[in-house]
Amino acid sequence: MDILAIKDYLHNFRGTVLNEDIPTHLKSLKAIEVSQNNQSAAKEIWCIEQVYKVIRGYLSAFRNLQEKKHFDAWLAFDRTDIELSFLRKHLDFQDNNFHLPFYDKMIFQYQKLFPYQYFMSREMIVKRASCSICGATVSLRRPCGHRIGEIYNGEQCGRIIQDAEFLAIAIVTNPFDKYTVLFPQGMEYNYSMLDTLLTQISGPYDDWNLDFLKERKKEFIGVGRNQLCPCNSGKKYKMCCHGTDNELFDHHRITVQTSTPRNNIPMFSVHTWK
Amino acid sequence: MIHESKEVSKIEVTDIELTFSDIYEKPYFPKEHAEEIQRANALIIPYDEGFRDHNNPLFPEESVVFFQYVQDASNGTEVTFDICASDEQFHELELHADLINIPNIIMTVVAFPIVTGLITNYLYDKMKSRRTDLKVKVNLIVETEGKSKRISYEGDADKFESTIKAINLLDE
Repeated sequence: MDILAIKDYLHNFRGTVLNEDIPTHLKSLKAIEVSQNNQSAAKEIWCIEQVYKVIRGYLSAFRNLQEKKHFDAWLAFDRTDIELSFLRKHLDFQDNNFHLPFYDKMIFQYQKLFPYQYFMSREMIVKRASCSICGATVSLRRPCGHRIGEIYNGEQCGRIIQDAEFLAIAIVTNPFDKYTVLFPQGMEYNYSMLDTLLTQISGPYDDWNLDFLKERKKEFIGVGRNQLCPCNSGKKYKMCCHGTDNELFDHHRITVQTSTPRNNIPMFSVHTWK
Repeated sequence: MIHESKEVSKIEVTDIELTFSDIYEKPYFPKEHAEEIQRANALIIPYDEGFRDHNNPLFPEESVVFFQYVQDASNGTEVTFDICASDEQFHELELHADLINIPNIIMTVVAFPIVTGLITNYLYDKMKSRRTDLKVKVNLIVETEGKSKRISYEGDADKFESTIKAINLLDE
């Protein structure tokens, strides 16, 4: 396969299993461009390699969801999201190249339906790092010239930590490392939003939209301002939860875009834990 | 804690006893780079306190990236940027939370509008590669006529520019 055929294949791909030979083809093509110091062509091939990783990761995540391997699916979505973020500064998503806006939207939406709320954030002191391109130790006043995230010889520049001191783990709600989900002993996450969605779509390329709405909790509907607050505080409703987030809950409304959704499911409430 | 923020656009301006001259006397000041550092009118400095049991000077993660960015971007302006560390002393504190901590910077009042513009552009580039809101913490120290004010911003990255522009250092 030449580069145009690979690009065409990835742009139009709507299956479930990718051609496994493509990474080898791309590697060979990139080696030729690098040997000729053709940096822009090598960078383009790196972008296509990333697209391949994004599609493969997305399919893997979806397959894990189908098999109810939820945490594996979470990890695959997270890794795919990272690969996509590497690509964002090098490829214009607005042109709908390879349908990247679709993958971007779907990864975000699927992640939002997971029940995970608490994560671990590692605290670490990095004392020495080196450049992944040239191996030079990172220096403040004698920089090697390679910038993190840029592409050199068809490879993305990063930092390799050479010396670090681990300090602690903090529990956070907005982690950088999304794989660090907390699994408290004796408690089981409730994945019913995802599982219900999976009954309504037929494959990874079925499109659906997710809206985030705030709805009033059932116990607060119809309560008079001067009545006791349903939260059992003993205060009047108007002096307590009225007009606050306490009387609201998050409603994730899913609209399946395909022509034949299997049935319309009324709103139901879901707890984080089973 | 510096891992997370629920603020939208919180800004505080306070008086502080810290000037460029004080920095030059700090134990962490790298004397081997004194000449070049003392030319800077915008200087990245470490956190002013230790972290947990660690008392050595620390900089937030990606300080090198930020330093290279502002050095390049301030070329041709009235601002001369530097960082108050040698390679040997330079340690970054990584918290791996989804929050950007801009390194502390002490600057002259002349440098202030340019530095805040550079931070705005830096944050804009960060926001471009994201689909969700970005939270940021910024601590700036502005010295004028031997007195200093600390300007601390915490909140949404996209509100940094408008919030910082709303303060007038001369009125504070």
